[in-house]
Amino acid sequence: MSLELITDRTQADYEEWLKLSQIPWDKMTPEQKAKWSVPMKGAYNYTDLNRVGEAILALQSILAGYGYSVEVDVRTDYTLGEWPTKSEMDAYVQSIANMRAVLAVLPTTPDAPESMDDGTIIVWNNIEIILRDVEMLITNMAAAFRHSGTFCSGQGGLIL
Amino acid sequence: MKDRIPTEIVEIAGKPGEYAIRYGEYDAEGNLIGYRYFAPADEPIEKGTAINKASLLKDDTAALYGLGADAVPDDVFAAIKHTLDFKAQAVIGSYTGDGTDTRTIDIGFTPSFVFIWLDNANATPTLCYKISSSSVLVTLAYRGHNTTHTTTNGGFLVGALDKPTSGNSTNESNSTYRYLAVGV
Repeated sequence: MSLELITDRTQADYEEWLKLSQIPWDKMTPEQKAKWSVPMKGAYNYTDLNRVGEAILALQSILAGYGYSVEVDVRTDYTLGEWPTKSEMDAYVQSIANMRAVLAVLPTTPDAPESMDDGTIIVWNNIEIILRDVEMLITNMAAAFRHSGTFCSGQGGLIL
Repeated sequence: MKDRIPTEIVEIAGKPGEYAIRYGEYDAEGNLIGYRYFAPADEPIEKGTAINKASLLKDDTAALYGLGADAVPDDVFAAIKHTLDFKAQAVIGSYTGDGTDTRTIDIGFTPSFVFIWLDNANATPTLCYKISSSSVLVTLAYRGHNTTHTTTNGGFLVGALDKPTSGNSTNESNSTYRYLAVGV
């Protein structure tokens, strides 16, 4: 399992997006047009929503296989120019919170955002750090599983 | 229930996706000597069923019993017992009247409702329903007659006490009666 996640957005990424957003298309250089034509890390757009949605669904499926039920409500089919609704964003945020709550997380795992109303680079990174941590914790959890026939009830010590 | 989640594991070289877990080594005084990583290396032909939440109690299974994600298997066993204790029971049966005034029909549980009717297509059922922990109300619907019976452990009473004026009761000699008894 290896989710496609972005956790390293920087202020420079945002400033680069802000700078390009203020240049009319016909005034952009070919290099600027090339950058503007692909999803930029400094902005949060439909590709981010779809990528995070796919990651959440993937984690939900894996967790279900391990017996953990996580209620999520996300979309993975946003398209260019489409605006998500407030209710969709509320469900998006709640899905992230639910995913964070399903396992015991690391002390360093950030809190889930309360809303997407005032999204910042930190919030966007934190969302995907949460998912990255959950993915790692699932791997660690599975590594600790013991199997039938390898131990007896109440037996401690180095029994693997 | 929750699975253990370690934070100190290493992926085994040459075995992607397989991990060893860190253990501490201590001296007899309880002082940490150092850490070592261990994993089974017995090359099993059958790895066996993992003893974990997925095999012992999934969240979805716990929810079937109204339990949350923290429930353990023992909680489900208790819930099952609780359900068995309070499940509804129903039985359909028949008996032949013997003309006695008070006769117990044993059905194995104390019913809350009993419908009794003559084995006759034109017969109107008699309804007996529990009105307290120790009595049932018997209504001969077609005669508008009510009377009260004491319930019995494991059954219900029939007999001439049901007889409103003359003729009909729930235990006339040589009459065949059918009943539906429900306990909740």
